Order: sequence, then C-alpha cells, then structure tokens
Amino acid sequence: MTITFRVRTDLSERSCWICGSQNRAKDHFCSNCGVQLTHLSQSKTSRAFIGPKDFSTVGIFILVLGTLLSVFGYLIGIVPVMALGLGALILGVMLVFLPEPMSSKAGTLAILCSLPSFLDLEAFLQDLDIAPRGIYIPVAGFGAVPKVLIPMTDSAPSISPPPKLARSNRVFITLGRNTNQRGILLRPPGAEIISALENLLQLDLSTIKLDELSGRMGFAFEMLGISKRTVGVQMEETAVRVQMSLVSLVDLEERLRSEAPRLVEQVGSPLTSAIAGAVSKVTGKYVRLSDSSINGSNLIVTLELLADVSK
Amino acid sequence: MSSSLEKIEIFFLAYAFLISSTVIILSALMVTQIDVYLAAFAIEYFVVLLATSPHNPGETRRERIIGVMLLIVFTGIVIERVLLLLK
Repeated sequence: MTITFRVRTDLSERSCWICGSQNRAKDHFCSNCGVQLTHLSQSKTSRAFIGPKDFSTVGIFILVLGTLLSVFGYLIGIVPVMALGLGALILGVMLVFLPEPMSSKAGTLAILCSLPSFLDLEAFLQDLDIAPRGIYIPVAGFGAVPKVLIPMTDSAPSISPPPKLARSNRVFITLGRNTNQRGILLRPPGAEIISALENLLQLDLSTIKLDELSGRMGFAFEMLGISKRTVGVQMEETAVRVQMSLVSLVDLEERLRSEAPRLVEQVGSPLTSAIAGAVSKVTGKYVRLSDSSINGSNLIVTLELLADVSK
Repeated sequence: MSSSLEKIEIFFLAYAFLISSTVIILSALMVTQIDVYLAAFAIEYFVVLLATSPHNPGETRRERIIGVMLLIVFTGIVIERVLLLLK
C-alpha cells in the first residue's frame, strides 16, 4: 500500500499554496501574496504512505462496491457473490473506521518528546514553591517571542518587567533594588508555536490588531494541524477569552493538566502559553493567564490584560 | 517489504487476501450457506489481528469494537447451528 513517486527538482514554476499563483522555482516567497513557499525535499525520490484520508476514500469505495455486490448476489441468488460483497463491506468499514488519524499520531509524538521537560519545569516550580502566575512580556518584531516572568513572592507589588527582559537569557531576575521584585524568567512552553505561527503567516503579530487575531490564528492553527479554523476571540475590558476546537494535542493538554497542574496554571501548557504570548504581542500589553480549561476537544483560555509596555 | 509497510497496512492487505481466498476456496467447494463465509471472515479477522498486532493504541481501541461486532455475528451463527442440531 505504498506509492513511490519522483519529485522533479528542476520545475521551472511552482504554485503558491495560499493564492495559487505561479512563482519561479527558486523564489522563496509568493510574488502575489508574499507568503513563504513550501520547499521541495532535497531528496529526488520521496515515499508517501497511503494516508488516513486515502484509507477513507478507498474504504468508502470498497464499502459501496461491497454493498452493491452483496445485494446483487442476494437478488440473483448466488451465495459466493453475496459473500464476496459482504467481505468487501466488512473490509470497507474497517478501512474507514480503523486507521488512526495522523493528527492523533502527531499528538502522541508531541507528548513523548516534550513531557519530560514539562515535568522537570513542574518540579522546579514546586521545589521553589512559587505561587504567583507568570506575566508575559510583550515584544515586537518578526520572530521575537515573548518571555514569561514568574514573580517569586506573593507579596511583591504588581510587577511590570521592562520589555528588554524578553531578550535576556538569564533565569533568575531581580527588578530594581527591591528584593521583593524577584522573578524567574522563562521561555514559554508555546514559544515555538508562536514562531511557527509567524513564519506561516509571514507576519509580525505586533503589527496587527486584536480583532484580526481570530482569523489569522485560526488559519495558522488549522495549517499547523492544531485546531479547526474557527477560533473565537472575545475582548472584554481587561480580559481576552480565546476559544477553539482542537484537532491535535488534546492528549498533551489533558496529561499536563493532571501531571503538571502548577505549570499549566502559572505558565500555561504549550498551546495556552502560545495563545497568551500571541495576545501579549498583538496588544502590546503584559498578559497573565487567568484560566484555561479543556472540555473534550474544546479549549477555552481566559487571559488578563495588564498594563501597556509604555506605562 | 514489511519494513516499508505499517502494521495496519499489512493487516488490511492480509485480510483482503484472506477474504478473497476464502470466497474462492469455499465457492470451489460448493458451499452455499452464507453463515459459513461470515464465520470464516470473523475467524480470519482475529487471526490476522493477532499476527499483525500490536497496532497504535487508538487503532487497538477501534479494533476491539469491530472484534466485538464480528464476535456477536459469529456467536449468532454458532447458536443458530446448535439450535438446528437440537431440533
């Protein structure tokens, strides 16, 4: 069930995956819409297994064929034809029903690769017994990723960390001379998702408005195989509520909620922290995670908007 | 060949081969009872499943559902045959 095909690397033109316009093969960005073009593999020969969608297509075809064959066999009274039809029907049902979606496999791989690091971070937070929630520091610029500062004491006054901290590689930070204003500066778990989002959109998130975020984020998350296209972003006075239906990473979200609750509550899971970072970048405000919940595949994230960077 | 195929693909290929072989062999033996074919399909399903397992956890869950359905069909056929013998 494998198909081997050859990819010609000397194609003189290739079409844009967004607008469909033709571009020269050596171009990296679409001349029409400016989006980054996908690169062909260096390998001249690629192998492609039949994916779940192909399984479903073949399965539906065999299912219909089997049904027709078994009815036909029944009508003409030839049992082997009917049996062949029933066999095809069973096989068709299996082809449609059995193969696991690729998104589920990707989710499993994501858990296997990243869970130990998240558990270490959870243990780190527990050992230091830090209670306050992290503050996402807004940044501007394509590819720049917000960092998250977790104040080390509850008694610390409301901290507004300087934006330049987002470029710092230090972990333990003291803001000013007040020893109360200490914190831990972390790269958020969803930092790479924010980067991927910007790379895919070829857009600096700090240049768009919050009401544009819903459409842009929905498109990018769908392309990344994270969620369905419809992403709800509700803006209130000092809060933003983001709602989406996940197609992958559900297992990771659920496992982190049970095995690393402190990390999820204070910093966020990879996805919730990506959303918090994106909102922080778009609004130019310090953002704190208020609440995140997952119900089946529905993820709801509520963020608290704090002060502007300029203030 | 097996190294380039996923287990689920081997499962489908083997099961499709067994189903068509069963139909050819049983029709050559002039078997005209549909329940014999269905019982053979059910048994073959479990044999191929055992031979190609383990599959992914998600696939294994769905295989169990199909397995239970085929087992119900198989049990029905066996009960019918037993009742025929008892009459």
